[in-house]
Amino acid sequence: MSGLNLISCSPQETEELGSQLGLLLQPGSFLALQGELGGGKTCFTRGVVSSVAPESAHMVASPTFAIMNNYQAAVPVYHFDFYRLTGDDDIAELGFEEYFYGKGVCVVEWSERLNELMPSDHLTVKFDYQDDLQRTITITADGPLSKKVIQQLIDRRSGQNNL
Amino acid sequence: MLVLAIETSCDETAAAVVRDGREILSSIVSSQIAVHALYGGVVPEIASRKHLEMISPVISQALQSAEVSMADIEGVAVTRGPGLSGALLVGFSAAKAIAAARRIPFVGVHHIEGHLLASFLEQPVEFPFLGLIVSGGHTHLYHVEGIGCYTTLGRTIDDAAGEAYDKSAKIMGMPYPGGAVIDKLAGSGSCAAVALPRPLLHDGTLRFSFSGLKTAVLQHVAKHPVTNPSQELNDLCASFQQAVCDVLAFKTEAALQQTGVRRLVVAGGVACNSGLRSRMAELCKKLKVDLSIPAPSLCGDNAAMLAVAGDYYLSNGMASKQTLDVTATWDMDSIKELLT
Repeated sequence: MSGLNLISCSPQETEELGSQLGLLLQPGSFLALQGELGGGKTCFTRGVVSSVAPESAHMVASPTFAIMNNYQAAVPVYHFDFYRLTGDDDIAELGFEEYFYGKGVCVVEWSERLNELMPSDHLTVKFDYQDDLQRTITITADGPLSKKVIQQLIDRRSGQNNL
Repeated sequence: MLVLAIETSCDETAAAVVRDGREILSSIVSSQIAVHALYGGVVPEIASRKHLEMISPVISQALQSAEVSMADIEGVAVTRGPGLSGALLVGFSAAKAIAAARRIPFVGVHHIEGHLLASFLEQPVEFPFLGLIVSGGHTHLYHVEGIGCYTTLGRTIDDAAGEAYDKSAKIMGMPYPGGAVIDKLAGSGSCAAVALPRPLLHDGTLRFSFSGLKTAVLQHVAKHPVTNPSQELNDLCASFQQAVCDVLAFKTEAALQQTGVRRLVVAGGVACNSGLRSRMAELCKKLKVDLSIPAPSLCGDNAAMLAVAGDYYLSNGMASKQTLDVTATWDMDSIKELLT
C-alpha cells in the first residue's frame, strides 16, 4: 500500500493539503476521511472543494445534520457525514451508493461507519491528534485510480517534509 | 384559504392545518426523539422509514385536531427542499397525491423559508427584517425584503450552532439532545469559568464557525474530565453557551448595522435556547430594534410554519406543477425562480 504521512500545524495547513489533493482528483474519486471530532475533516474538505468545485467552495459546511451536502460544479463534490449513522444498512437505505459510483468526487466524513459498502478504489485520509493544534495526517490508497493519485501527490511534494 | 401543510425534510414527520397563513388550527409533530435517544444521535435511517409509517396518521391527526375534513382543505403547502431526497419525497408525494385527488393546488416551500416566517403565525413582522436561523443544520443570516425575497448575508463555514451544542454535549458525556441540557446546566454555572474561543469574531465578515469551539471543549474535557452532575460541568456549559451567544450576538449586531434594518427575527431549533433568547432581547433593547422569536413549539421543525409562505404563494397563483420534484439543494437567494 502506498502512503503519505504528514504533520499539519494549523487548520490553514490542513485546508491547503486538501486543496493540493483536490487538484489531482478525478470524477469517481472517493475520499474516506477518518479520525476523532475536531481532527480537521471539514476543514480538509473545504480545501478539496476549493480545487474540485471552486464555484461552490463557499457552500462547504459540516453535513452532520443533513448527512449529505452536494456542491455543484462541472465535477460535483458529494460531501457525506456518517456521524449520525450506524452502518451499512443505514447508508444502503438512504440510497447513497449511486453517488459512490457517479461522476462526482465523494468525500466521506466518519467513513469508519462504512463496511462492505466502501468502494474498493479509494483514498483514506486519517487525522490524528498530536496536540491542541498539530495533527498527523496519513493518506493511503487502495485501487489503481487512487494509487495513481497518491503517487502524483508524492511526486509533487518530493523534497517537502512538512506542509 | 384553509391550507394543509406537510413537513418531512429531516427528522420530523409533521402536518398542520392553518387558516389564511395566520391561524393555526392544528400542528402535529411526530417527534422521534424517543427512538433516537437510544443511539446518541438522530438516526436518519430510522427517520426515513418512520416518515413513511407516520405520514398518514400525522395528516389524519392534523385534520382531526383542526376539526376539518379533507374536503375542507383548499390548498397544500409542503417542504420541497433542502434535505435528503428520500425523506422529502414522502411528504412531497403525499402533498401531490392529495392535490391531484382533491383537485386543489399545492406548492413546494423552502424549509428555511418556513423557519424565517414562523413568527408570522403569532404576529406579522414588517418587511424588511434580518433573519437569524439557528438549528442543528443551519446558522444563517438573511436579509428578508418580502415573502420569497431573501439574501444570504452570512452562514457557517463548518458546524452549525445546534451541531456544536449536540457534539459538545456528547463530549461532556450528556445524552441527546444536548442543547436543552447544556442550556439548563448553564443556568447554574459561571460563564467566565472556562476560557473558550469565539471563532471568526473579528474577521470582518458575517461568516460563522463553531467547529473550533467544539474542539476546544474536547481538549478541555481531555485535560479536566467532568463528572455529571458537578459544578465544573455547569461552569463548562455556561462558558460554552456564553461563547456561542457572544458570536451569534456580535455577528447579528454587525448585520443589523450593515443593512440598517430595524427588525430581527430569530428562529430554528436553537432559538428555543433560553440563553440565546435573553441575549438577543438584550441586544435588541440596546439597539432599539424590534425582536420576534417564535414560541418554542414553532422554533423546532414543524409544518405550520410552511403555511405562511404557502398560503401567500397559493393565494397569488404561484402553485407548483405536478411534474415538480423535490430538491436536495435549494439556494434561498433564488427561491422564486424555482417555485413552480
